[in-house]
Amino acid sequence: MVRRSKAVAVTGMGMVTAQGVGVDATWAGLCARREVLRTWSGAPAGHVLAGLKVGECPEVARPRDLPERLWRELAGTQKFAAVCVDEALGQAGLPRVMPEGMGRVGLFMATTVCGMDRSEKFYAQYREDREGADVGLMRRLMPYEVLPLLARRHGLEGPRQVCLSTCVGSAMAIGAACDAIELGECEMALAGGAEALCRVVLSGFHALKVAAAEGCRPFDKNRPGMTVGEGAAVLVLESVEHAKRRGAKVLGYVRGFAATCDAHHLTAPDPEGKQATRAIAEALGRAGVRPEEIDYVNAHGTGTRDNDAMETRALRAAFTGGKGVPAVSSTKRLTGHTFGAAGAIEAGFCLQAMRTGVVPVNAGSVEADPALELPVVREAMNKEMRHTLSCNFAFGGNNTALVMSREWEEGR
Amino acid sequence: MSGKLFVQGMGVTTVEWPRLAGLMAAVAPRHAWRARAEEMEAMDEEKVAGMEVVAALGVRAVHEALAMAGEGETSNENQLAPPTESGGFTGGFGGALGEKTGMVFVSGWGMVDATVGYLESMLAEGGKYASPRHFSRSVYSSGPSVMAIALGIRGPCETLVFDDEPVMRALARAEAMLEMERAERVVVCWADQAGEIVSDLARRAAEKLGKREYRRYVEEGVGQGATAMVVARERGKWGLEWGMDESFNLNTIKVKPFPMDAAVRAAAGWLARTAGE
Repeated sequence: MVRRSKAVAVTGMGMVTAQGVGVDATWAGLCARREVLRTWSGAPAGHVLAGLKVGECPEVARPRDLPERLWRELAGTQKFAAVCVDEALGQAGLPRVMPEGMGRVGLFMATTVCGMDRSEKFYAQYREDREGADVGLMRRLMPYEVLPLLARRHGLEGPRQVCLSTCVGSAMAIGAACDAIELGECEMALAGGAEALCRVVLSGFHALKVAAAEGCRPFDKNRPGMTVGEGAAVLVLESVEHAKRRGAKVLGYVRGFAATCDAHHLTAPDPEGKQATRAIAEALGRAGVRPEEIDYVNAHGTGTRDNDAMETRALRAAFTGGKGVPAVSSTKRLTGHTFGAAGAIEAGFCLQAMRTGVVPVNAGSVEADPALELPVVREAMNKEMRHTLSCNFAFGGNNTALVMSREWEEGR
Repeated sequence: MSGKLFVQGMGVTTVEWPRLAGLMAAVAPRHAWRARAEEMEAMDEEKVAGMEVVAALGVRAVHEALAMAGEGETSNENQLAPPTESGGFTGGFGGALGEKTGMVFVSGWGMVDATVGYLESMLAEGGKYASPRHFSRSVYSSGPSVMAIALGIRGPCETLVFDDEPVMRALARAEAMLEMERAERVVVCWADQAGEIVSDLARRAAEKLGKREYRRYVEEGVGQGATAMVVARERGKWGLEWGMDESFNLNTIKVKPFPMDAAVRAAAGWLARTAGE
């Protein structure tokens, strides 16, 4: 028996992805199955990375309250985060700066890349000319620096942290924020993640030989690997009582979160997916939602051979009996894999799916893999959804599962 | 939050205090036996030596903390200890116990050597030979991942950074994990490594960017080390209650500075306070 979690209300969302700036632009692209992958603009001609397709975001506009000089100093992740917070607060009906009486508002962010887009430039100069390297590039490269930036800008006085657990980072950030709300450390929190494309990440996955040149094809028989992407998402989370008290419109509820670790290998998942299954089962148990009640699963679905095979095993083990595995799709062909931001972006997709009744399609897959017996969503589908599951898996065998519901009744 | 937070075991390794026993002898000599170093089976030094510096520091500190917590009897799957036919004490967790154990890992600078190694490989020869090994080891979470593999930790493993109070905030997150019953015990580890590039960049941050928090590295040099605590709601064999207040810091303990050095002073303060010395 696992402890039942209290439902936490989601009252705002902000998103930047390769599909566009904002939740609406992203969701419209997803529903239209819009192919947006393109060759990375940052690769020099003739470089090994030239020609590699990525999920690159449109440029984001500087928020008017941030001075131009500060904006120039910010890393890509920090810019994306700032833009997402603005959209999320706006949707939640909250002012840009928390007013007195709002109580302690927490900040739980995630990233993997941090300020690497700037530090790789600095290091390239530094190795040639130590004293001549532009130290200004170092100004905001530490991963924690997004915290004071956002906390000061929005008057956030609650607990704050950045999770660096790679591809499960923002799912963990949402989980930690929900814990903080349930335990009374704060009544409201901003939670999410942000990543920006840089040569370090592209080159790294290219070196690991898992980057697909033409784009990922999750759960396909001939899946060639993953697609690197960038993006960000931030959710406004609050206790149900707090949301009610201020008359906020609730977009959905986080019902249960769980995390486990394979303790198996630094980069490869445990092929059996035992701990991934345990994370899914625990999240369902915490949510008080039965497996057969889940209407849609947003899979991690990176499109690598190892991940998709492991994830299939884990889902099949977690959804034994009843109706079996519900409709599953990976949205990574349409956004790229956004690493530390993926958990929050895909949690947002689950909320949008429940709100609009549209099941996101598993784009990219041409031929089903007979070895992966999953009900993968191959064509656009409309369906009423009450409960969804979002899975994420990461380097080091970290696994997360997040159960979200459209509605929630007290006592259920 | 309800309930008390007990520190069941502790481990410290720095340049000045390579093992917990030395620190205990300095701050709480009558209680030095609690370090239980003599009861720890040897780690597989070859394996530890092959780890990134931050991971190796963390593993040493966590291994020591687990030994103090007296976790030996139930261990059977540890990959860190040399293999033995009998599978005796290893300092790690077996299957079921490992699933009930979580980890919070905090590092200020992350995996410095792997990051530099990776950047060098990426920039040389037009990126043709970027090192996958260095890449996978360069992410902050590779340290705790290696530790989780070595020690069989299968509960939630979170790699976190904070903009202030890393000791209290990491313990608060561990306490939340316990309160939410995500784990029955949580290994909390703070670790950082020294290096030529770290010293040089710290100097520039202090001198050219005017970042005051980096001045101490210019004045005293950059140290390295790790502190680990095994925390739980139960007292355990030797468990002593953690006090979440500033008086637990023992600021007189000499440690060459590194971002997570506050954890060493907190550990020393806890040892002195609980020993009543």
